[in-house]
Amino acid sequence: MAILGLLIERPDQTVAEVAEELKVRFARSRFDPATASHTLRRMAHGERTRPRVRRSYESPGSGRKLDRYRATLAGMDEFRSWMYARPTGVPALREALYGRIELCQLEDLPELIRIAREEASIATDFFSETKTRLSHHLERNRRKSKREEPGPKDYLQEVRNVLLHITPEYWSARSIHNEEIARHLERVAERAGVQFEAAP
Amino acid sequence: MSSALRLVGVSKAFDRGRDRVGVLQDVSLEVAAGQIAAVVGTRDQGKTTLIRVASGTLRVDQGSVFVDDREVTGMSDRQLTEVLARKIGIAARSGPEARLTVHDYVEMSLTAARDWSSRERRERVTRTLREFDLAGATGLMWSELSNWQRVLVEFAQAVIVRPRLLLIDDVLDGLGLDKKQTALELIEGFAEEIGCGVLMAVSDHAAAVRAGQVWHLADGKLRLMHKDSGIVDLHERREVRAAEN
Repeated sequence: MAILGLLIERPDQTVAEVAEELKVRFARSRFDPATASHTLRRMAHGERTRPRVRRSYESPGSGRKLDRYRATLAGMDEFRSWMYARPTGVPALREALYGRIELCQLEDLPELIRIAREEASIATDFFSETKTRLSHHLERNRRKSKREEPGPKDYLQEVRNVLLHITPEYWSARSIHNEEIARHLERVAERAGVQFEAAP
Repeated sequence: MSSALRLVGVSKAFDRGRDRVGVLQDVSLEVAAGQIAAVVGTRDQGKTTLIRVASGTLRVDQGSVFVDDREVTGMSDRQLTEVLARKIGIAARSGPEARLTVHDYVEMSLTAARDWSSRERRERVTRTLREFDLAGATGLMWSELSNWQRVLVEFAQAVIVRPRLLLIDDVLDGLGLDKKQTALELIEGFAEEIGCGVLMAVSDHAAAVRAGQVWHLADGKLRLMHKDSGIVDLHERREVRAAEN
Protein backbone atom coordinates (compact mmCIF):
# COMPACT_ATOMS: atom_id res chain seq x y z
CA MET A 1 0.00 0.00 0.00
CA ALA A 2 2.95 2.27 0.69
CA ILE A 3 4.07 1.87 -2.92
CA LEU A 4 0.62 2.76 -4.25
CA GLY A 5 0.56 5.79 -1.99
CA LEU A 6 3.96 6.93 -3.20
CA LEU A 7 2.90 6.63 -6.84
CA ILE A 8 -0.33 8.56 -6.19
CA GLU A 9 1.65 11.23 -4.40
CA ARG A 10 4.22 11.48 -7.20
CA PRO A 11 3.29 9.59 -10.39
CA ASP A 12 5.77 8.36 -13.01
CA GLN A 13 8.53 7.04 -10.78
CA THR A 14 11.09 4.39 -11.64
CA VAL A 15 11.62 1.25 -9.54
CA ALA A 16 14.81 2.77 -8.10
CA GLU A 17 13.04 5.98 -7.10
CA VAL A 18 10.23 4.09 -5.38
CA ALA A 19 12.77 1.85 -3.61
CA GLU A 20 14.63 4.93 -2.35
CA GLU A 21 11.40 6.56 -1.09
CA LEU A 22 10.49 3.34 0.73
CA LYS A 23 13.92 3.23 2.33
CA VAL A 24 13.84 6.83 3.49
CA ARG A 25 10.20 7.38 4.46
CA PHE A 26 9.38 3.93 5.79
CA ALA A 27 12.71 3.22 7.45
CA ARG A 28 10.97 1.62 10.46
CA SER A 29 9.35 -1.01 8.23
CA ARG A 30 12.73 -2.14 6.86
CA PHE A 31 11.43 -3.13 3.42
CA ASP A 32 13.53 -5.59 1.49
CA PRO A 33 15.51 -3.77 -1.28
CA ALA A 34 13.73 -5.89 -3.92
CA THR A 35 10.22 -5.04 -2.61
CA ALA A 36 9.67 -2.10 -4.98
CA SER A 37 10.65 -4.08 -8.04
CA HIS A 38 8.61 -7.22 -7.14
CA THR A 39 5.55 -5.31 -5.99
CA LEU A 40 5.42 -2.97 -8.99
CA ARG A 41 5.68 -5.91 -11.36
CA ARG A 42 2.96 -7.83 -9.49
CA MET A 43 0.63 -4.83 -9.34
CA ALA A 44 1.15 -4.06 -13.02
CA HIS A 45 0.36 -7.66 -13.93
CA GLY A 46 -2.81 -7.63 -11.89
CA GLU A 47 -3.13 -11.43 -11.45
CA ARG A 48 -6.55 -11.90 -9.77
CA THR A 49 -7.42 -8.22 -9.56
CA ARG A 50 -7.32 -5.40 -12.04
CA PRO A 51 -3.86 -3.90 -12.51
CA ARG A 52 -3.25 -1.32 -9.81
CA VAL A 53 -0.27 0.31 -11.55
CA ARG A 54 0.65 0.72 -15.18
CA ARG A 55 3.80 1.66 -17.00
CA SER A 56 3.54 5.29 -18.01
CA TYR A 57 6.84 5.12 -19.88
CA GLU A 58 8.50 2.05 -21.33
CA SER A 59 12.21 2.29 -21.80
CA PRO A 60 13.58 0.98 -25.09
CA GLY A 61 15.44 -2.32 -25.19
CA SER A 62 15.34 -5.20 -22.71
CA GLY A 63 16.49 -3.26 -19.63
CA ARG A 64 13.44 -2.13 -17.62
CA LYS A 65 15.26 0.10 -15.18
CA LEU A 66 14.06 3.32 -16.75
CA ASP A 67 10.41 2.24 -16.93
CA ARG A 68 8.14 4.60 -15.07
CA TYR A 69 4.95 3.69 -13.18
CA ARG A 70 1.77 5.38 -12.04
CA ALA A 71 -1.32 4.17 -10.19
CA THR A 72 -4.39 3.09 -12.16
CA LEU A 73 -7.94 4.06 -11.11
CA ALA A 74 -8.27 0.63 -9.47
CA GLY A 75 -5.04 1.29 -7.57
CA MET A 76 -6.31 4.67 -6.39
CA ASP A 77 -9.59 3.09 -5.22
CA GLU A 78 -7.72 0.40 -3.34
CA PHE A 79 -5.45 2.96 -1.69
CA ARG A 80 -8.39 5.10 -0.59
CA SER A 81 -10.20 2.09 0.91
CA TRP A 82 -7.06 1.28 2.88
CA MET A 83 -6.53 4.87 3.97
CA TYR A 84 -10.09 5.15 5.30
CA ALA A 85 -10.48 1.60 6.61
CA ARG A 86 -12.05 1.63 10.05
CA PRO A 87 -10.12 -0.32 12.67
CA THR A 88 -11.92 -3.48 13.74
CA GLY A 89 -11.38 -5.90 16.63
CA VAL A 90 -7.66 -5.98 17.24
CA PRO A 91 -6.17 -2.68 16.06
CA ALA A 92 -4.22 -2.89 12.86
CA LEU A 93 -0.45 -2.86 13.15
CA ARG A 94 0.73 0.44 14.51
CA GLU A 95 2.85 0.79 11.39
CA ALA A 96 -0.34 0.90 9.34
CA LEU A 97 -1.33 4.12 11.11
CA TYR A 98 2.17 5.46 10.64
CA GLY A 99 1.95 4.59 6.94
CA ARG A 100 -1.36 6.43 6.62
CA ILE A 101 0.13 9.48 8.30
CA GLU A 102 3.12 9.40 5.98
CA LEU A 103 0.93 9.24 2.90
CA CYS A 104 -2.08 11.33 3.87
CA GLN A 105 -3.13 14.57 2.25
CA LEU A 106 -4.78 17.42 4.14
CA GLU A 107 -8.25 16.30 3.03
CA ASP A 108 -7.59 12.89 4.62
CA LEU A 109 -6.99 14.43 8.06
CA PRO A 110 -10.56 14.18 9.45
CA GLU A 111 -10.71 10.47 8.63
CA LEU A 112 -7.23 9.88 10.01
CA ILE A 113 -8.12 11.63 13.27
CA ARG A 114 -11.19 9.43 13.57
CA ILE A 115 -9.14 6.28 12.91
CA ALA A 116 -6.50 7.22 15.50
CA ARG A 117 -9.27 7.86 18.06
CA GLU A 118 -10.99 4.58 17.27
CA GLU A 119 -7.71 2.71 17.63
CA ALA A 120 -7.18 4.45 20.97
CA SER A 121 -10.64 3.46 22.06
CA ILE A 122 -10.11 -0.18 21.06
CA ALA A 123 -6.76 -0.21 22.89
CA THR A 124 -8.50 1.25 25.97
CA ASP A 125 -11.05 -1.59 25.89
CA PHE A 126 -8.22 -4.12 25.67
CA PHE A 127 -6.45 -2.36 28.55
CA SER A 128 -9.56 -2.51 30.71
CA GLU A 129 -10.16 -6.17 29.88
CA THR A 130 -6.58 -7.31 30.50
CA LYS A 131 -6.32 -5.19 33.63
CA THR A 132 -9.49 -6.75 35.04
CA ARG A 133 -8.05 -10.19 34.32
CA LEU A 134 -4.84 -9.22 36.14
CA SER A 135 -6.79 -7.83 39.11
CA HIS A 136 -8.74 -11.10 39.39
CA HIS A 137 -5.50 -13.05 39.21
CA LEU A 138 -3.83 -10.96 41.93
CA GLU A 139 -6.91 -11.24 44.10
CA ARG A 140 -6.95 -15.05 43.71
CA ASN A 141 -3.25 -15.18 44.60
CA ARG A 142 -3.81 -13.19 47.76
CA ARG A 143 -6.43 -15.65 48.93
CA LYS A 144 -4.15 -18.62 48.36
CA SER A 145 -2.43 -20.06 51.39
CA LYS A 146 1.12 -18.81 51.60
CA ARG A 147 2.27 -21.56 53.91
CA GLU A 148 3.57 -23.92 51.25
CA GLU A 149 6.96 -23.36 49.67
CA PRO A 150 6.61 -22.76 45.90
CA GLY A 151 7.77 -25.62 43.67
CA PRO A 152 8.68 -26.01 39.96
CA LYS A 153 4.98 -26.17 39.06
CA ASP A 154 4.38 -22.80 40.70
CA TYR A 155 7.34 -21.23 38.93
CA LEU A 156 6.13 -22.61 35.62
CA GLN A 157 2.76 -21.06 36.34
CA GLU A 158 4.54 -17.78 36.99
CA VAL A 159 6.15 -18.03 33.57
CA ARG A 160 2.71 -18.53 32.02
CA ASN A 161 1.50 -15.46 33.91
CA VAL A 162 4.20 -13.09 32.68
CA LEU A 163 2.01 -11.81 29.85
CA LEU A 164 -0.87 -11.36 32.22
CA HIS A 165 1.23 -8.78 34.06
CA ILE A 166 2.76 -7.06 31.06
CA THR A 167 -0.16 -6.88 28.61
CA PRO A 168 -2.30 -4.23 30.37
CA GLU A 169 0.71 -1.93 30.43
CA TYR A 170 1.14 -2.42 26.67
CA TRP A 171 -2.48 -1.56 25.88
CA SER A 172 -2.48 1.42 28.22
CA ALA A 173 0.60 2.81 26.51
CA ARG A 174 -0.87 2.14 23.09
CA SER A 175 -4.18 3.78 23.93
CA ILE A 176 -2.44 6.93 25.11
CA HIS A 177 -0.05 6.83 22.17
CA ASN A 178 -2.95 6.81 19.69
CA GLU A 179 -4.73 9.55 21.61
CA GLU A 180 -1.60 11.66 21.38
CA ILE A 181 -1.42 11.05 17.64
CA ALA A 182 -5.06 12.13 17.28
CA ARG A 183 -4.44 15.27 19.34
CA HIS A 184 -1.42 16.26 17.27
CA LEU A 185 -3.34 15.67 14.04
CA GLU A 186 -6.21 17.78 15.38
CA ARG A 187 -3.84 20.65 16.10
CA VAL A 188 -2.52 20.52 12.54
CA ALA A 189 -6.08 20.33 11.17
CA GLU A 190 -7.11 23.36 13.25
CA ARG A 191 -4.18 25.41 12.00
CA ALA A 192 -4.80 24.30 8.41
CA GLY A 193 -8.48 25.16 8.65
CA VAL A 194 -9.56 21.56 8.00
CA GLN A 195 -12.93 20.69 9.57
CA PHE A 196 -12.98 17.53 11.69
CA GLU A 197 -15.25 15.84 14.19
CA ALA A 198 -14.23 16.85 17.71
CA ALA A 199 -13.53 14.17 20.28
CA PRO A 200 -16.58 13.24 22.36
CA MET B 1 -18.70 4.06 51.38
CA SER B 2 -17.29 7.48 52.23
CA SER B 3 -15.48 9.54 49.68
CA ALA B 4 -11.83 10.44 50.30
CA LEU B 5 -11.66 12.88 47.40
CA ARG B 6 -14.23 14.39 45.10
CA LEU B 7 -13.51 16.88 42.36
CA VAL B 8 -16.56 18.42 40.72
CA GLY B 9 -16.20 20.40 37.50
CA VAL B 10 -12.77 21.71 38.43
CA SER B 11 -11.01 24.13 36.09
CA LYS B 12 -7.67 25.81 36.54
CA ALA B 13 -5.79 28.06 34.15
CA PHE B 14 -2.44 29.82 34.33
CA ASP B 15 -1.11 32.92 32.62
CA ARG B 16 1.60 32.09 30.12
CA GLY B 17 2.83 35.25 28.50
CA ARG B 18 -0.18 36.98 27.04
CA ASP B 19 -2.26 33.80 26.95
CA ARG B 20 -4.28 32.13 29.64
CA VAL B 21 -3.78 28.37 29.35
CA GLY B 22 -6.39 25.96 30.74
CA VAL B 23 -4.45 23.21 32.51
CA LEU B 24 -7.54 21.54 33.98
CA GLN B 25 -10.86 21.86 32.21
CA ASP B 26 -14.07 20.75 33.88
CA VAL B 27 -12.39 17.84 35.65
CA SER B 28 -14.49 15.55 37.83
CA LEU B 29 -13.47 12.40 39.67
CA GLU B 30 -14.14 10.61 42.90
CA VAL B 31 -11.90 8.35 44.95
CA ALA B 32 -13.61 6.38 47.70
CA ALA B 33 -11.89 5.48 50.95
CA GLY B 34 -9.74 2.38 50.43
CA GLN B 35 -9.53 2.82 46.66
CA ILE B 36 -6.65 3.71 44.37
CA ALA B 37 -7.00 5.96 41.33
CA ALA B 38 -4.18 6.65 38.89
CA VAL B 39 -3.92 9.56 36.49
CA VAL B 40 -1.59 8.81 33.59
CA GLY B 41 -0.16 11.48 31.37
CA THR B 42 3.00 12.66 29.75
CA ARG B 43 4.98 15.53 31.20
CA ASP B 44 3.43 19.01 31.33
CA GLN B 45 -0.12 17.75 31.01
CA GLY B 46 -1.21 19.05 34.41
CA LYS B 47 -0.76 16.02 36.66
CA THR B 48 1.03 17.99 39.37
CA THR B 49 -1.58 20.74 39.08
CA LEU B 50 -4.27 18.12 39.62
CA ILE B 51 -2.48 16.81 42.73
CA ARG B 52 -2.07 20.35 44.11
CA VAL B 53 -5.72 21.12 43.43
CA ALA B 54 -6.75 17.89 45.17
CA SER B 55 -4.66 18.87 48.20
CA GLY B 56 -6.33 22.27 48.36
CA THR B 57 -2.97 24.03 48.15
CA LEU B 58 -3.84 25.41 44.73
CA ARG B 59 -7.09 27.34 44.49
CA VAL B 60 -9.34 26.42 41.58
CA ASP B 61 -10.86 28.89 39.13
CA GLN B 62 -14.07 26.93 38.97
CA GLY B 63 -15.62 23.86 40.56
CA SER B 64 -15.39 22.26 43.98
CA VAL B 65 -12.94 20.03 45.83
CA PHE B 66 -14.10 17.78 48.68
CA VAL B 67 -11.68 15.93 50.97
CA ASP B 68 -13.18 13.34 53.29
CA ASP B 69 -16.60 14.68 52.32
CA ARG B 70 -15.76 18.26 53.40
CA GLU B 71 -15.54 21.00 50.83
CA VAL B 72 -12.10 22.58 50.95
CA THR B 73 -12.64 25.00 48.07
CA GLY B 74 -13.78 27.95 50.13
CA MET B 75 -11.81 27.22 53.31
CA SER B 76 -9.66 29.81 55.04
CA ASP B 77 -5.91 29.21 55.12
CA ARG B 78 -6.14 28.18 58.77
CA GLN B 79 -8.87 25.61 58.10
CA LEU B 80 -6.99 24.34 55.09
CA THR B 81 -3.77 23.92 57.08
CA GLU B 82 -5.75 21.84 59.55
CA VAL B 83 -7.13 19.58 56.81
CA LEU B 84 -3.69 19.28 55.21
CA ALA B 85 -2.11 18.27 58.49
CA ARG B 86 -4.67 15.71 59.58
CA LYS B 87 -6.43 14.41 56.52
CA ILE B 88 -3.99 14.53 53.62
CA GLY B 89 -0.64 12.87 53.03
CA ILE B 90 1.42 14.00 50.05
CA ALA B 91 4.33 12.05 48.59
CA ALA B 92 6.24 13.94 45.90
CA ARG B 93 9.63 13.61 44.25
CA SER B 94 10.97 16.90 45.49
CA GLY B 95 11.53 16.00 49.15
CA PRO B 96 11.71 18.55 51.98
CA GLU B 97 12.04 22.23 51.15
CA ALA B 98 14.42 22.85 54.04
CA ARG B 99 17.64 20.97 54.91
CA LEU B 100 16.33 18.33 57.27
CA THR B 101 17.37 14.88 58.44
CA VAL B 102 15.06 12.02 57.56
CA HIS B 103 13.85 11.90 61.16
CA ASP B 104 13.05 15.63 61.29
CA TYR B 105 11.34 15.55 57.91
CA VAL B 106 9.04 12.70 58.91
CA GLU B 107 8.40 14.27 62.31
CA MET B 108 7.34 17.50 60.62
CA SER B 109 4.12 15.84 59.46
CA LEU B 110 3.24 14.99 63.06
CA THR B 111 4.22 18.41 64.34
CA ALA B 112 1.81 20.01 61.91
CA ALA B 113 -1.06 17.89 63.21
CA ARG B 114 -0.31 18.99 66.83
CA ASP B 115 -1.87 15.87 68.32
CA TRP B 116 1.19 14.39 69.95
CA SER B 117 3.74 15.33 72.59
CA SER B 118 7.35 15.57 71.50
CA ARG B 119 8.12 12.19 73.13
CA GLU B 120 5.19 10.53 71.38
CA ARG B 121 6.28 12.07 68.12
CA ARG B 122 9.83 10.78 68.48
CA GLU B 123 8.63 7.27 69.31
CA ARG B 124 6.16 7.26 66.47
CA VAL B 125 8.74 8.45 63.95
CA THR B 126 11.28 5.86 65.13
CA ARG B 127 8.68 3.10 64.83
CA THR B 128 7.55 4.27 61.39
CA LEU B 129 11.10 4.52 60.06
CA ARG B 130 11.77 0.99 61.32
CA GLU B 131 8.63 -0.26 59.55
CA PHE B 132 9.85 1.32 56.33
CA ASP B 133 13.29 -0.24 56.76
CA LEU B 134 14.82 3.21 57.22
CA ALA B 135 16.18 2.79 60.73
CA GLY B 136 19.73 3.20 59.41
CA ALA B 137 18.85 6.39 57.53
CA THR B 138 17.36 8.40 60.40
CA GLY B 139 20.17 10.95 60.58
CA LEU B 140 20.79 11.23 56.83
CA MET B 141 19.96 14.26 54.72
CA TRP B 142 17.82 14.03 51.57
CA SER B 143 20.85 14.40 49.30
CA GLU B 144 22.50 11.40 50.95
CA LEU B 145 19.62 9.03 50.21
CA SER B 146 19.30 6.58 47.34
CA ASN B 147 16.30 6.96 45.01
CA TRP B 148 14.55 4.06 46.68
CA GLN B 149 15.18 5.46 50.17
CA ARG B 150 13.69 8.77 49.03
CA VAL B 151 10.54 6.96 47.90
CA LEU B 152 10.30 5.24 51.29
CA VAL B 153 10.88 8.50 53.17
CA GLU B 154 8.19 10.20 51.11
CA PHE B 155 5.76 7.39 51.90
CA ALA B 156 6.71 7.44 55.58
CA GLN B 157 6.11 11.18 56.03
CA ALA B 158 2.90 10.98 54.00
CA VAL B 159 1.22 8.14 55.90
CA ILE B 160 2.49 8.71 59.44
CA VAL B 161 -0.62 10.72 60.32
CA ARG B 162 -2.81 7.96 58.81
CA PRO B 163 -4.43 10.34 56.30
CA ARG B 164 -7.87 9.93 54.72
CA LEU B 165 -6.39 10.92 51.37
CA LEU B 166 -2.97 10.02 50.06
CA LEU B 167 -1.70 11.98 47.06
CA ILE B 168 1.30 10.61 45.17
CA ASP B 169 2.98 12.73 42.52
CA ASP B 170 5.20 10.83 40.09
CA VAL B 171 7.16 9.18 42.91
CA LEU B 172 7.39 5.81 41.15
CA ASP B 173 8.85 7.01 37.88
CA GLY B 174 12.35 5.83 37.16
CA LEU B 175 12.23 2.93 39.60
CA GLY B 176 13.32 -0.52 38.44
CA LEU B 177 10.74 -3.28 37.97
CA ASP B 178 11.20 -4.91 41.38
CA LYS B 179 11.21 -1.66 43.33
CA LYS B 180 8.16 -0.47 41.43
CA GLN B 181 6.28 -3.66 42.32
CA THR B 182 7.27 -3.25 45.96
CA ALA B 183 6.18 0.40 45.93
CA LEU B 184 2.81 -0.58 44.42
CA GLU B 185 2.34 -3.25 47.06
CA LEU B 186 3.10 -0.65 49.73
CA ILE B 187 0.50 1.70 48.24
CA GLU B 188 -2.07 -1.10 48.19
CA GLY B 189 -1.13 -1.76 51.79
CA PHE B 190 -1.80 1.89 52.75
CA ALA B 191 -5.24 1.79 51.14
CA GLU B 192 -5.99 -1.51 52.81
CA GLU B 193 -4.60 -0.90 56.29
CA ILE B 194 -5.26 2.81 56.74
CA GLY B 195 -8.36 2.86 54.57
CA CYS B 196 -7.27 6.03 52.79
CA GLY B 197 -8.19 6.88 49.25
CA VAL B 198 -5.15 7.17 46.98
CA LEU B 199 -4.76 9.43 43.97
CA MET B 200 -1.49 8.97 42.16
CA ALA B 201 -0.16 10.86 39.18
CA VAL B 202 2.10 8.70 37.03
CA SER B 203 3.92 8.92 33.73
CA ASP B 204 4.63 5.22 33.87
CA HIS B 205 1.92 2.86 32.68
CA ALA B 206 3.14 0.00 34.86
CA ALA B 207 2.27 2.07 37.91
CA ALA B 208 -1.30 2.53 36.75
CA VAL B 209 -1.97 -1.13 36.20
CA ARG B 210 -2.70 -1.84 39.87
CA ALA B 211 -5.12 1.07 40.37
CA GLY B 212 -8.88 0.54 40.58
CA GLN B 213 -9.51 3.59 38.41
CA VAL B 214 -7.24 4.70 35.62
CA TRP B 215 -7.58 8.10 33.98
CA HIS B 216 -5.68 9.72 31.14
CA LEU B 217 -5.02 13.45 31.48
CA ALA B 218 -4.31 15.37 28.29
CA ASP B 219 -5.11 18.90 27.18
CA GLY B 220 -6.65 19.55 30.58
CA LYS B 221 -9.27 16.85 30.20
CA LEU B 222 -9.63 13.56 32.00
CA ARG B 223 -10.56 10.44 30.04
CA LEU B 224 -11.59 7.36 32.00
CA MET B 225 -9.63 4.34 30.80
CA HIS B 226 -10.69 1.79 33.37
CA LYS B 227 -12.79 1.36 36.47
CA ASP B 228 -12.79 -1.87 38.47
CA SER B 229 -16.24 -3.33 38.74
CA GLY B 230 -16.17 -3.58 42.50
CA ILE B 231 -13.73 -6.44 42.85
CA VAL B 232 -10.92 -4.55 44.51
CA ASP B 233 -11.98 -2.40 47.38
CA LEU B 234 -8.93 -2.74 49.54
CA HIS B 235 -10.44 -1.40 52.73
CA GLU B 236 -13.47 -3.62 52.37
CA ARG B 237 -11.19 -6.58 51.71
CA ARG B 238 -9.39 -5.91 54.96
CA GLU B 239 -12.68 -5.86 56.84
CA VAL B 240 -13.80 -9.11 55.18
CA ARG B 241 -10.50 -10.72 56.07
CA ALA B 242 -10.75 -9.53 59.66
CA ALA B 243 -14.26 -10.97 59.88
CA GLU B 244 -13.06 -14.30 58.43
CA ASN B 245 -10.31 -14.53 61.03
